[in-house]
Amino acid sequence: MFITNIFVMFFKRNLKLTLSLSIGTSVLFLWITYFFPNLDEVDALVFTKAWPPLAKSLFGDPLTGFSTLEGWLNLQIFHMTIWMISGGLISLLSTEVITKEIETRKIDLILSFSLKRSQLIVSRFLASLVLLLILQFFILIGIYGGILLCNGKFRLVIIYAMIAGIPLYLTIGSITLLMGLFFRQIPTLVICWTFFSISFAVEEVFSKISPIFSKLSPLCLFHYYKSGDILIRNIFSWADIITLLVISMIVLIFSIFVFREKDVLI
Amino acid sequence: MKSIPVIKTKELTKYYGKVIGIENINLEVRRKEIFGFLGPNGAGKTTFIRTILGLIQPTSGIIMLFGEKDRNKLEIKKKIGYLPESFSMYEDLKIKEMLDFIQKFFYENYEKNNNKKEDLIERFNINPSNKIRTCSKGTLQKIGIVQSFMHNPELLILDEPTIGLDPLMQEEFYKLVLEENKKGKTIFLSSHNLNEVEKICTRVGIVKNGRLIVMENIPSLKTKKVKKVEITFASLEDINKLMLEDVYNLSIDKNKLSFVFKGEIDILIKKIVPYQLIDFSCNDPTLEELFLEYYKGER
Repeated sequence: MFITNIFVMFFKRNLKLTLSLSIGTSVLFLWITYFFPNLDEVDALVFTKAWPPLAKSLFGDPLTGFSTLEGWLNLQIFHMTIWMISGGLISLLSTEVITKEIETRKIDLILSFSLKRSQLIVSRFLASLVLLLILQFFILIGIYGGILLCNGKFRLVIIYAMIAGIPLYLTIGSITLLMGLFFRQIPTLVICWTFFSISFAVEEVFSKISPIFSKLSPLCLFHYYKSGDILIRNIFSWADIITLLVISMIVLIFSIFVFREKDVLI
Repeated sequence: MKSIPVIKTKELTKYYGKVIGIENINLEVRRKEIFGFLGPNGAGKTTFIRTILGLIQPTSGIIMLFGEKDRNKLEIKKKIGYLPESFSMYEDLKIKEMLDFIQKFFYENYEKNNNKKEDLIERFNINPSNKIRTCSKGTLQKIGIVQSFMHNPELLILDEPTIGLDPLMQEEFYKLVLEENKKGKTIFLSSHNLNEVEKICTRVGIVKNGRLIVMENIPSLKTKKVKKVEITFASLEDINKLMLEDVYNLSIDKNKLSFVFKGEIDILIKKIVPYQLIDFSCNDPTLEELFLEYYKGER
């Protein structure tokens, strides 16, 4: 199922992009972490009063967000920014697996080599996963650097929150890969990210407003990644991680199945 | 004993929705032959190639490669060298990196032919340290030729291989094809260039609107060679006096006579010598004209 040659080539060709994004994100997150305001709870409470409940739900409660480092990291990084950057990278890489190859007419040559279509997808998706892990490593360095600069203490929950995010990014990647089998690169990204944004909005906003949407909440990907629970309340759910892993694997296997007999139209 | 055909299709059909890609193509490519697949752009040549290579699924019909129905078998793929119609590669890589990448898929073949890649690079005058993005269309095509031949495949499927090549390189390519054929390789060459096919192929299949309309040996195709002739006479009366045979699609515009001529050109010239001419031109018809004017009459 795995071909080293395909893996290495995909990794090599996308390393520059990943490193650029990783270094940029690392610096950004270092800067964000360093600017942790460390307010006492009384001052933070003033902020809390000013924030409507919906905003608290969407961006994180400023009560913890401005007074504890974990709350601050959740508010500024883990609640939204990290999945947008990591999801953005893996989405882009997923469209490089097949979609871009078809668009640039390189797919004919690649598929004429002695390899199976499933091997092409698996090898490249695994390379995407390794590139994603490089990004996570740089993010961790950035956050850790920021904590060191503001004389804070590094806590394991930050690593837990990062690990819990990886299945979410894999799901984002596999959904993009599947959609990319039917559309070109830009339409694929537009369709997928519209879907992810709506999914996030339903989970974080609409489900808080309307009971109808709250019933739809378990259908949203973001229902299974609760960074606030991990960072602030120390609740780490293996069930959420497994759910997202299962979804991503099902979508990936389905993509392989669809592509196996699909006409490659150029 | 009759050897198994390298490529065999039976009633092979591919529709894109309601549009015909190819229809009912029955074709056999025998071992060690150079088979030319001739047709104008859009005739279905690339669809046929992409179908036999498993890139698109046929609507109906049977395809057999080396006697096997499963053309996606890795053992079968290893025996094939393919040059796609629009050959493109990763622009950010060097030529050498790209060829090394391809080489690894055919490792076993390289064990026996480890110098072939270098020989071909030298033969086609390619600088392997150049980046692909700096390559001209001609150089890209040369790289495409190198990658398809370098692993010593038993069957070469070449889709419009000389597009973008200068005449010198075209000659080098023809030499290479003939050499490889002598070594026992089977070559399936798709082209819209009649002269090219005549020059190197042993047998030819002509495809039109997705259908295989003719499959012949080259010598017999040559006897059917036609010319597009235009003669401008000094007087219209001369045209009326002229008695011509073996002409198709005759048209007269003032003093100008146009037709497609099938036969010995020497006979035609002798017939028009007694008349006073203002202009005379005799050209190979384009394939499109060959199909529209000649084959329409034939079938």
